[in-house]
Amino acid sequence: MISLITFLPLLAALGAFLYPGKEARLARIWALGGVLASLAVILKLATRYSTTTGLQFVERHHWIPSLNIEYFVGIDGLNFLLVLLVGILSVVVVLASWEITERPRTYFPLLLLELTGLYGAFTALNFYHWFLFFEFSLVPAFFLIKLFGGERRDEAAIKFFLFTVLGSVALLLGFQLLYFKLGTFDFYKLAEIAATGTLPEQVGPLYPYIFLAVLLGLWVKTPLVPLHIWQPEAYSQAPVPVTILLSGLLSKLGVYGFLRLILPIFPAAVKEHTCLLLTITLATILLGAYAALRQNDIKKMLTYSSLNHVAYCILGISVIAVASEHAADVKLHFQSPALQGAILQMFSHGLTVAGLFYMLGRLEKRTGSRYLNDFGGLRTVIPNFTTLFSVLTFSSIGLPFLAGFASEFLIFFGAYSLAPVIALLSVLALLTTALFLLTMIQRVFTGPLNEKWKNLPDLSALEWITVTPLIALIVWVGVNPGFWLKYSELLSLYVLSQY
Amino acid sequence: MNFPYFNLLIALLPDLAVLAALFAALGVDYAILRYESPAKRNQTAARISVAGLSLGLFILILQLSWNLPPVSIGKDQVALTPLTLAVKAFLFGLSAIVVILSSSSQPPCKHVSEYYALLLLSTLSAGLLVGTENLLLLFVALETMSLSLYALTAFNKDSKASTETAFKYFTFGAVSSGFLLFGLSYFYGVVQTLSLPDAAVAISQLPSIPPLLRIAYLFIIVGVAFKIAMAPFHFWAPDVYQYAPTPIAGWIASGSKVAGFFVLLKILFPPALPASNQTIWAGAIACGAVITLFVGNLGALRQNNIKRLLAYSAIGQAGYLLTGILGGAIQGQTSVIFYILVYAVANLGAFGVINIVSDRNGLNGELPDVAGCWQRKPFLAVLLGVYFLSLAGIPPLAGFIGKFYLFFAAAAQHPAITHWNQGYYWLVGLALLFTAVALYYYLRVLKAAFVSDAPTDAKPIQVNPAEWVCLSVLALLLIAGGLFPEAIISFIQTTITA
Repeated sequence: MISLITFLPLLAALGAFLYPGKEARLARIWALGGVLASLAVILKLATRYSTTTGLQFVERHHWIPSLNIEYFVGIDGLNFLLVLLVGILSVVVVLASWEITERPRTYFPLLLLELTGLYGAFTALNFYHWFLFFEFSLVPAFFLIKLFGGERRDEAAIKFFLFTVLGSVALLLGFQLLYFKLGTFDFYKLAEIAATGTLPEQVGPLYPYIFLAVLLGLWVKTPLVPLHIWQPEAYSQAPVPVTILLSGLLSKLGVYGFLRLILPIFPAAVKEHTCLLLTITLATILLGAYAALRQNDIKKMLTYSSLNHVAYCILGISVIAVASEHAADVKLHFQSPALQGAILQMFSHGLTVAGLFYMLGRLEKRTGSRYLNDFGGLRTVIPNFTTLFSVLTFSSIGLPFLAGFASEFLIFFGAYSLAPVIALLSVLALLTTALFLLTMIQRVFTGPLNEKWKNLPDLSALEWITVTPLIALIVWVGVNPGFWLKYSELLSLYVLSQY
Repeated sequence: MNFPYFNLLIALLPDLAVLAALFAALGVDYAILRYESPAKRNQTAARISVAGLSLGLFILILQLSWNLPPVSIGKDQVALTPLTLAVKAFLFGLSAIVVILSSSSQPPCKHVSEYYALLLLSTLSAGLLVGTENLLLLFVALETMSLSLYALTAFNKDSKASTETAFKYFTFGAVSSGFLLFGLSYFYGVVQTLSLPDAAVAISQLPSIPPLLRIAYLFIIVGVAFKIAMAPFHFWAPDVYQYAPTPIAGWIASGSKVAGFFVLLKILFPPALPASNQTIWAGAIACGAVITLFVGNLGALRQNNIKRLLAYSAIGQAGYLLTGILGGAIQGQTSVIFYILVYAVANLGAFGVINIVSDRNGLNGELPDVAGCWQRKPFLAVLLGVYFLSLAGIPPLAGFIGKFYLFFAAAAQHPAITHWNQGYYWLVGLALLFTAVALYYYLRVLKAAFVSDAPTDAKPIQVNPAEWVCLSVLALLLIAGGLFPEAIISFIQTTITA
């Protein structure tokens, strides 16, 4: 079943490439069909998903036995929400690309290939298998930026590519060494070895270097300061649907890496380097928020805001390793919300940021501008648009009963108890986020109307269809986070058993 | 003692088929088609060559499927194992593709049949070279192959550059052959036998490694370094790749490179030699790998001619392969053989596309020639993409698992590593960094093909059905090899360890 999810988009990519139809109008139908088919399979799996068992829907085959490489996929609490997120956002992305007229025969197959890469990377449980999709997902993303991006796309694409590849090199080196020491690429087996506590001894003096190599790869991918410098350009130069992919999904690949590759496999090293992790996370949180404050270009503002929000996930992840004098069960009481909050934050940030970038793209399509000082008073002209945009913004700010609140509250609850100083400093970023997002709402939608925009059309049917499900999910997560948290409960306890 | 002539005949049947085709191509051209148009003579000679190669390939497949036990005839002069048979079949197949790619272009000059005859001769000697364990035959086969390639490089007599290049190639080659022969004779002096398996026994019985053997290995490595374009013996490569007829450049980059690496593997890993002897040459190979990686990958960055770029990339790739050699007799050899096959396929494909896009339209293979390939012939652009992405090592193509395995093998030499400077881990790290550099120049070509707009005066790209088939087969091999490498890897590994 999981292979089906991964390879349906690939099939659709072939279809869109070989039978693009007249003026390539069929290509987008192929794309929509492919992503809906995958989503259908995911929903079917979701109904059968049991929150009381760990790994489910496993497919395991020998692939390259000479090198101990298996085709090994499965879904557990760490990746369930992410696979679901890919499923949902893939539909948004295709709908956001619906009106693309420039070379659709190239565009849609690349988009679908990218989704194949993402599904593959989120479900793989063997390092080689995972790395293959992780690397593969770079190529379509590179071409999507390079072919369809804005004015400075060449620079953005090459920066994105080189940075990520350098990160992957480090990752590969680290895991190869780990393989020589332990004889397996299997994430679950590695975690089991780590759980016995003998992994550092078995690996020997190179253990910290391996950890740092793996960390470096994910550091670039997530990204965290100071290796984030590829990100603003890539996000702001990419076309809107690709920005949704990059911010909503590709950055989650980095965070997911922390959950799958770092927490279970390197508990000792994480504990030792908590200080480093927390420092770069805090730096990212603050830098993201303050840089966003300075932007006039709304897309750039959302990019930096996304940098800041993804770093909250890492905050939730890294605070669980902080040493504290609490008793084990009390400590778990704080760790568990932090970790589960991080997982939920990936989901809610994905939904929110996708909606925001989509709406911004539609606004730019209407007006040809995305600069704060070009707008004003749009509320009177496009009231429905304003409402939906505001709901998404409020979710991003973290208003109660919306998704952003649910997850960020959990993270800050855990972080405040475990690392109060870091949490308090991060609160500054929360305030700043509110400041710049509200300023944006104010300057775009309220105030005197700029006469240029007197005749803007309000939401079209397509826009309703695209955004309403996102808003519904955001409200659902906000009102009833418990429903979503129970998916990750078991696995977070499993991970936390080592901290 | 009765010499087993019948066995020899059976064993060399595929080579005989190719030899027959060689003479037939020449004979028919001289005797029957003397006054016909060059185009017709070209077609006939090409057909005969393809027929001979296909027949040889067919017999090889039969020999493989008979599952003969390994044959060794005449002091290991002909040593056939499933692996050598398979590699020979691979070479014949590549050569057939080279013939097909050449045949549809205008023949470079009026000596059409000689072109194919020389190509067949080099194929034949590459095949013999793969299937021998005897130093003398190894040298003779290598020289025959090289001589045919020198002549083929100079085949375009009207081009001054082509002639000059061939002369450079020849002088370099002759000097390196001298080194190789010197090295081989020292080697013989130490081990007192021409057969490599016997030599391995002799070396393992030596009380200590004599200095003469070290010198012998050094000379041999220098000699072979030239053939495989290992820096600092690579100076011929960029010119040859750029100015030789494009299909021949493809053959030099694929077939002759496979043969060159087989010579190196045979001499460095004679069967049953204890692993400790690898220390004799490991330092030299590691140094060579470092220099080669630097020269190739940095040199490629500023090339604007695709063929020249591929030449530097070939040097860089030799660096990865040398890294793999350090992986030792089993893992190292397997990974190098696997990767060299993958590399040959991708490279031949790349040259095939350049031949169609540039040479056929009278261009010289500059980067803008492929511009707009995506709009002009989308499928051809996709094929080009497959070849270059495989060279760059992007999953899921065969180049990815090939490189992965090479680095894996080299690093696995020291599983007990506790510091960065132990084993070849540092070299693997360096090579991996250079794969990131290499991505940049491979992507430049792809950018031109997929992103740039075609020049307004671009001629249409014409591809005939035979070329479509050949190029698609090459691309399919890369995809299949990437998705299901296990069959090939375990085949190589079992025949090496057997």
